[in-house]
Amino acid sequence: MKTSWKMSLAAMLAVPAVMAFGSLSFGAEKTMESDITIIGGGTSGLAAGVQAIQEGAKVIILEKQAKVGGTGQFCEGIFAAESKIQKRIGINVSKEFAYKTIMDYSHWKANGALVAQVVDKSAETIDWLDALGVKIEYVGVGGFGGPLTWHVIAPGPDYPDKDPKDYHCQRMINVFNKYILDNGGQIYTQTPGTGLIKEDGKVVGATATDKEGNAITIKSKAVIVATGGFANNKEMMKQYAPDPDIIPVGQIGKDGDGIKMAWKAGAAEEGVSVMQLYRPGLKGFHPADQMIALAVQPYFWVDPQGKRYTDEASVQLWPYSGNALLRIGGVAYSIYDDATRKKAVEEGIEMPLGEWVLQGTKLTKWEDSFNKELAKKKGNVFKAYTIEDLAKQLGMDPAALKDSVEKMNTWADSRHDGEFKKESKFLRPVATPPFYATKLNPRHLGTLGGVRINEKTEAVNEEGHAIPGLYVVGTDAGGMYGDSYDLLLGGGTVGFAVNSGRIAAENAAKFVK
Amino acid sequence: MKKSLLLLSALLLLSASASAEEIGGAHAGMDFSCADCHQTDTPEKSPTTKNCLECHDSYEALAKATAPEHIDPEDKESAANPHDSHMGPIDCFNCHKTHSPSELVCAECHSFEFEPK
Ligand SMILES: Cc1cc2nc3c(=O)[nH]c(=O)nc-3n(C[C@H](O)[C@H](O)[C@H](O)COP(=O)(O)OP(=O)(O)OC[C@H]3O[C@@H](n4cnc5c(N)ncnc54)[C@H](O)[C@@H]3O)c2cc1C
Ligand code: HEC
Ligand code: HEC
Ligand code: HEC
Ligand code: HEC
Repeated sequence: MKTSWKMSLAAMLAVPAVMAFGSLSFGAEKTMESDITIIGGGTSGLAAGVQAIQEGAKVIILEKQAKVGGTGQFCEGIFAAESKIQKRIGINVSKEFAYKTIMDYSHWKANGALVAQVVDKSAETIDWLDALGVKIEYVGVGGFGGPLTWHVIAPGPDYPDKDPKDYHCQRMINVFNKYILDNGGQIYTQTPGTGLIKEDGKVVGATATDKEGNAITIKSKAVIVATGGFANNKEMMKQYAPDPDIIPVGQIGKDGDGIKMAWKAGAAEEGVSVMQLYRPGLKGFHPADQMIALAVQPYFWVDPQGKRYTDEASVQLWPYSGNALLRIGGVAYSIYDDATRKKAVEEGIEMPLGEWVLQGTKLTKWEDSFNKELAKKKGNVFKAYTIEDLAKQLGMDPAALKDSVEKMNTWADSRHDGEFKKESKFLRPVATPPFYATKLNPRHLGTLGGVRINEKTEAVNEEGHAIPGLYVVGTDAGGMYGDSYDLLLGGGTVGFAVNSGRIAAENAAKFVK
Repeated sequence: MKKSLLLLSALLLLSASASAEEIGGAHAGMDFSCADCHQTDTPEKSPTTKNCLECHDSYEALAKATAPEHIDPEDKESAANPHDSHMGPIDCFNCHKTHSPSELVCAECHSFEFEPK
């Protein structure tokens, strides 16, 4: 049957297609039951699943994609304060310091009670992960030189022979997934949650569509929503994002499903427009690309008029460089000369890109990546032997760009940035031809707000009353931020995902007993 | 009066959205009915991957059909196959759309030459 369709297009066109497929049986409704249903099998949903099983609950997890993990397939490290490994190395990040840092960064717009829960639980979560088999490789920073809170996850025993991806957050996802399946939890992939069931003001279950397209009803005593935000929902991005065209990284099928369900069930909004702004870059380049790695070194960035607009070194805390770029309209150019290129290729880069491109990496793949893109003539990268020519290619007034370059060269010479007060070690001249330019656009790693929750991660309505039986976690929930993503303490989003998932499961387990 | 107006506009809305669901993409002009992909004449949501595989064999077979002809050992990305990657067997409609332009989900992180119909 399949093959005959495939083989004869002509026959296909002649026969009315309804005849063949209209008769397929369809729509048999399935019903299932659990104590706790978790919608979303990513970072926060799987963490909630493990914890809920440990609390003795019967758990069903619904995952939209064919694979679990969501954006948790891409992250590297998790936040904690006062973990054993931090204490052992002598890293002084107290809970008080972490709490104050997060709250002050948000201008105390964040949910103080929720932040306290997350910070207080964070160190114990590292022990919990350790007991499950998720080990920490080392503790690093969010932004270079900052507090050491980013607990980077070590490769597991299956790396690299049996599973070349068994490291960083993917290791944690693998462990969570196995634990849940080994301990009686049920995970349904390609089974998106479609709605919540509410009776007498309480959430008592969820609806979903299974692999075959059949509707499923799941009766349960509590539901945890963990669908990872709305980065792929064009309408919501238009309505809430500072710019709907910010390039998403690591997002598939993030249609805001969970957020919309919770709102529909009466939950209030919180922090919907906060985006996890990333280092600027280009669509079509992954986080480890070496052409981008050089373009985001903090040297000389100009707006489309050819004027410098920022302290480039603010990219150490990428939400800052994202905000500055959005402010000028979302297009900038990073320009460097051949001496800078040569240094990066032969000696290595000064500023690391997380675990993707380490500090000191020699950018031997720069040339391939740059030339491949140059040949495509898409207006993303440029090369010229004079500043005038470069300006012309970039559509800038050559005099304006020349002026900016001359200023930069003066600052590099005097080791003092007379404009944006950049740290002197990052002042480099733009003097040795050829000159290279790469366009920079804002990118993000996901949306960071949606549903208002309390410190138990219960969804709350406009009046602040909890909706019984409904918990919202991870990037579907608001409350950790003011107006911007906070990178002062590295690992914060995974930290929130895992800790909020655990907190939800503990409270939901108590609630269903 | 008010009620009937509402009803009327609801009907208009319904018919407007139904006619907006034109069948484009890979199957444009093939006289498909809604039920061919959706298994219902009044679809509300996207079809499943299983629905596509009623006619298109398996993911493995697709992977074979789109395996790259030449792999450059120096360039790992030259081994890229839209139907077999580190993203796993993702749902077809993430790339192949019917009522809106198709898009390659890999494109947020890679610039491959291939494009989905
Ligand atoms: C390249 C990259 C690097 C990163 N590095 C770090 C880092 O080192 N440290 C850090 O703190 N953060 C990092 N982040 C961010 C971090 O990965 C995310 O914030 C975190 O994984 C979000 O967890 P979540 O549970 O909210 O969402 P996800 O992990 O994305 O899980 C959501 C899940 O819900 C599923 N889903 C969606 N809709 C439905 C539905 N209707 N029904 C069922 N399931 C549904 C999705 O498919 C997905 O599996 C990084 C992000 C990226 C992209
Ligand atoms: C060739 C297969 C195919 C046919 C035939 C088809 N669709 Fe679709 N439909 C899809 C795919 C794929 C999607 C996913 C979104 C997209 O394509 O833009 C979808 C999505 C939808 C959605 C959900 C949109 C959303 O926002 O979630 C509706 C409603 C829909 N189709 C209605 C129809 C109607 C009505 C018809 C008949 C006129 C029809 N479809 C015929 C493949 C098909
Ligand atoms: C009723 C049978 C049927 C269904 C269901 C169906 N297709 Fe097709 N599809 C065809 C036929 C027939 C062709 C044209 C002949 C061919 O290339 O196999 C085609 C062509 C295509 C092509 C272009 C192939 C090429 O050679 O370029 C793509 C891509 C495709 N389909 C994807 C899908 C996706 C995705 C779905 C699910 C939303 C789907 N199809 C559902 C029958 C179907
Ligand atoms: C990651 C994006 C992506 C996904 C997901 C995807 N495809 Fe494709 N598909 C492509 C691209 C790109 C091509 C064209 C490849 C080329 O030009 O070599 C293609 C080609 C095809 C073809 C033509 C193959 C041929 O013989 O040349 C068919 C049929 C098809 N896809 C069907 C499907 C079906 C059915 C699914 C789901 C099971 C699916 N695709 C999932 C991106 C995708
Ligand atoms: C969120 C970003 C992201 C998306 C989306 C993505 N990739 Fe990748 N891909 C990466 C990263 C990161 C690497 C590793 C690069 C490195 O280490 O140099 C990679 C590597 C690869 C490689 C090189 C071989 C390897 O495994 O290291 C291939 C081939 C590839 N991806 C194919 C795909 C295909 C096909 C898709 C779409 C179906 C896709 N990727 C989607 C980020 C992504």
